[in-house]
Amino acid sequence: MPTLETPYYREIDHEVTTCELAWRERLPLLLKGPTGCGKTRFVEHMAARLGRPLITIACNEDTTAADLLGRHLIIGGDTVWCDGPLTRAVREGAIVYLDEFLEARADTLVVIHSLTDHRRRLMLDRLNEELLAPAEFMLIVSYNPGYQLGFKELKPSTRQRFLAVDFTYPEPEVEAEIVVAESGLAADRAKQLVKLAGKIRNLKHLGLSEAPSTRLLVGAAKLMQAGMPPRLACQIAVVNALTDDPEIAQSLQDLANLHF
Amino acid sequence: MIKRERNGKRPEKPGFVPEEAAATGLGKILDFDLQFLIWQGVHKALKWVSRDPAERRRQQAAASLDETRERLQTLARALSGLPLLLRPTTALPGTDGRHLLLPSQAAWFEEESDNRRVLLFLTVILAEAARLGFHGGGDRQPPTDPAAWADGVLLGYPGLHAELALHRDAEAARRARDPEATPALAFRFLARPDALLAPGDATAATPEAIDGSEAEAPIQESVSRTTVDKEDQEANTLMHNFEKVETLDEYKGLARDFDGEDQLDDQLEAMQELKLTEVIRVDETVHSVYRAELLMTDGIGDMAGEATGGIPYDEWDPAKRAYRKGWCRVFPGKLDARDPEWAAERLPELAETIRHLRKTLEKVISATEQLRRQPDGPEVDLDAAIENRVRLNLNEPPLSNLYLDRRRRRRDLAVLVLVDLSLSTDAHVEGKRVLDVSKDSLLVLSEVFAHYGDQVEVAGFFSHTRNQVHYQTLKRFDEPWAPLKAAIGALEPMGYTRIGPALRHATRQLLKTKAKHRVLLVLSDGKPSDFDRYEGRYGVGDIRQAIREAESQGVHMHALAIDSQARDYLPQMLGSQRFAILKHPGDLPEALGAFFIRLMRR
Repeated sequence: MPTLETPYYREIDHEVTTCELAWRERLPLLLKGPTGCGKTRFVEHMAARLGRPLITIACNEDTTAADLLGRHLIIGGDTVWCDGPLTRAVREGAIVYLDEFLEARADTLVVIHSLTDHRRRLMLDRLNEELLAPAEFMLIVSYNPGYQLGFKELKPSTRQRFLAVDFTYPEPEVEAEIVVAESGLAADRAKQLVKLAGKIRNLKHLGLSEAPSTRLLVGAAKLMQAGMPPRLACQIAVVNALTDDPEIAQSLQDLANLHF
Repeated sequence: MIKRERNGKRPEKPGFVPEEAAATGLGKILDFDLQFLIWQGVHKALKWVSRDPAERRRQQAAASLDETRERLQTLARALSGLPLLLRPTTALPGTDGRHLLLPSQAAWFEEESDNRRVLLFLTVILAEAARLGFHGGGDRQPPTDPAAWADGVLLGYPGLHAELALHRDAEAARRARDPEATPALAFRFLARPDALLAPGDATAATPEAIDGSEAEAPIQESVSRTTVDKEDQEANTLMHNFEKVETLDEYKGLARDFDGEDQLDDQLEAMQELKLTEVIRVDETVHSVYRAELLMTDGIGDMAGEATGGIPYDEWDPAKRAYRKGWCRVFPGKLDARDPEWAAERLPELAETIRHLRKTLEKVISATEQLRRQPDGPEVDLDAAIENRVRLNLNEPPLSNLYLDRRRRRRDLAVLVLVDLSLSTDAHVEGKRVLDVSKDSLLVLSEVFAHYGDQVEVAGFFSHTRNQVHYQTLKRFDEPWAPLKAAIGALEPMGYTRIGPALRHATRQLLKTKAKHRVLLVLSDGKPSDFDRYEGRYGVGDIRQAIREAESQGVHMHALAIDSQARDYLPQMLGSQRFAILKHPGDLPEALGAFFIRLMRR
C-alpha cells in the first residue's frame, strides 16, 4: 500500500504493474537504461509501495562474492561471521537492488544464480548453509547498456534469469510532468527545459557523448524554482554537467539561451 | 601575371599576398609589384573616399560568419537533429536540407550585435526549415507566407523574445533611412536542390581561410571523372596553359604538372571562379587538397570487368538491399617498406605522451593484474591471511596460498587497429597531415604496449576500385611489437577509401584468433570514396552493413577520427557511443593509448 513516504514515481509503460506482478510471482527483474532516467527512484518507489525494506548495493569492479555474501571477521580473539548485504536481504525478505550490476566481475555474479531460479536459495559455502529466500524477497538489478565499452555484456546464462524492463527518457509531456512534480517549477518553464533537453539529445546522435538526464533537468528546475535566473541555472545544472569542452559548452549555452 | 591587371577586384582582398613563389624572373616581379602596390593603394583610397559614412560604419560593424560558424553549426544541428553543414554565401540565405547557406558577412546594421543577431535568427529559421523538409529534397510544401512562418519560429523560443524586439527596432530604423533596402531577415527555402547552384549563389561563396593546405570549394552538384594512367601522363604533349588552369582544368587531358608545387593560397581565388565539374584522378600523391562539397545526383558507373586473384568479398547494395556476391577483391599483403630513421626522429616529440600513458597503464595493470591467493609473491594477501586465521580458529585446515602476485595474465582480448592509408589522409588538419598523426599514434602505441601482450594486429588499407582493395599488415597477432616502428615510418598515403571490404577482411582476421573479446579499432574519418561508385549513400550503406556483420559475429567496432568531416559519417555508422572525433589532431596519440588502457581495465 502506498504510504505517505512513498517516493514520487511517474509510471511510463506498465513498469509498476510489471514489478508488482514479478514480486508476487517471485521473479527477479532487470532494469536497463541510461543514467538519470529514474531506475533507482523506481526501485525506491516499488519498495515503499510493496512495504518491504530496500537494500541497495552499488557494484564496482572490486565487488567480490564475499562482499555480497558476508565473511568471517576476527573480533578480539573470536571469529565472528558477518552477513553481507545480500545475505541480510534474503534473511529479512527485503528487496535487494544491485545497481550497475555489470560492473561486478563475472565470477561474483555467479553467486546470484541459485537465487534467481526456482530454487530461490542462497548458498553460503563458508557457513556450509543454504538460505531459502522468503516469499517477500525480491532481486532487482540494473545496468546501463551504453555505458560499457561494448563487450562487457551479460552472459546469456545470467541474463535469461531476469524479466527485463527497458528505461528511456520519457516523452516530453511526461518528462515535463515529472520535472514539475519533483521541483514545483511552473509548467511552462518545465516544458521549456524539456524542449531544451530534446535539442541537446539531438546532438548526442551527432557526437556529443553524454545526453542530459531527467535528473539533470530536475536539478536545473530546482535551482530555477529557488529563484536562480534560468540561463544561469541551465549553465550550472546542465551545460557544466555535460561537458568540459569550452566550445561545446558555448554551443549548449547558446541553446539554453534560446529557450530561456 | 596578366591575371592581376585583368582581374580588377582581386587586390581588394585583405591579406592578399603577391605570388612571388609562382613567378620566375625576380627583377620583373619587383618592378611589377611596385606598380601594383601603388595601384592598389590608390584604388583603396578612392574606394574609401567614395563610400558614404553609414556604409563605412556598417562595414566596420560587420559580423563575419567565419567567427561564429562552428557555434552556429552546432546550434543548427541541435535544433534540427540533422548533420547540417553551414556554408557561406553572398546571395540569399537558404537550405537544401543538408546545408545552411548563410551570408559570409552580415553588414546590415551599424552595431555589430545587431548584425550578429541576424545570423543567429537565420540559423534558427533555416534549421527549422531543414527539419521540417521545406526544401528541394523535402517532402513538405513550404509555408505560403515564409516571413510570418519564420516569425512564428523565432517566437517559439522565449529566449529570443527580447532579441527579436531589439532586431525590430534596428530594422525599423534602417528602413526609415532607406525604404528600398532588402529586409535583413530575407531568406528563401530552396525549391529544388539545383537552385543551390544558381550561378549567383555557389560561385559567389567565399572560401574559408586557408589553414595548412586545404581549401574548400563552393558546393558543386555533380562531378565527372577522368582517369589518367601513367602512360597518358607520360604521353602528354606540351600545351599552353592559361592562368588558373595550372592545377585544375575543365576538361580532360590537358598537359600540366600533376600537383607539383604547393601554390594553394595563390590559386584559391581562381578556383572560386572555376566550375569544378570535372575532376581528374591520378595515381600520385597530392600536395594540396582542394576540397569541394559534392551533391551527387546522378549515379556513377560501376567498374566493369572481372578481377582475378585476391580474396572475394560481398558488397552491400543499400538501394537493392542485397549483397553483390564476390563484388570486391581484397589483396592482403605484408608491408615490406621500412624506414627505421623515422621513429627515432619522432620519439623526442612524443616522449611526454608516452611517459604519461605508461604511468597510467602501470596503475591499471597493478590494479587489475593482481593475482590473489598465490603460493608466493611480493605482498601478503590480507583477505587470505584473515581467512586463514579464521580457519585456524575454527579448527579447519589452514590455507597455503597467502600472497599477492603481479604476474602477467593472458588476456582474452584481441585488438585489430585498422588505419586508413588512402590519399584523403594526405590532407591537413590544423597544419598536421592526417596520416602523420595516425603514424605518431601507432608509434606511441607500440612504445607503450610493447610489454603488455601482443594480441594486437596493426594493418592499413586503401583501394583502387572494387577489384583491388589492399589490406597491408604491419604487425600480425602474436608478432612482437619491435619491428613495427620501422614499418610505420614507411607508410605513405595512396589510393582511395573502400572501407567495407577492408572491415570484412579485418573481421575475418579477428575471428581467427581464439580471444573471447574481439575489438576492431579503425582510424579513419569513415568517408567512403573510390573510383567506382563507392561514395555517398552507397558507400555509407555498405560500411554500415560491414559493421553490422562484424557485430553479429562478436567483433566490436570503434573508430577514432581527427577530421571534422568524420562528424558527417561516423555517427550514422556507429551510433553515438562508439566513436570519438578529436578536436585537435595532436590529441590522437593520447586518445588511442587511453582507448587501449580502457580495454585493459575491463
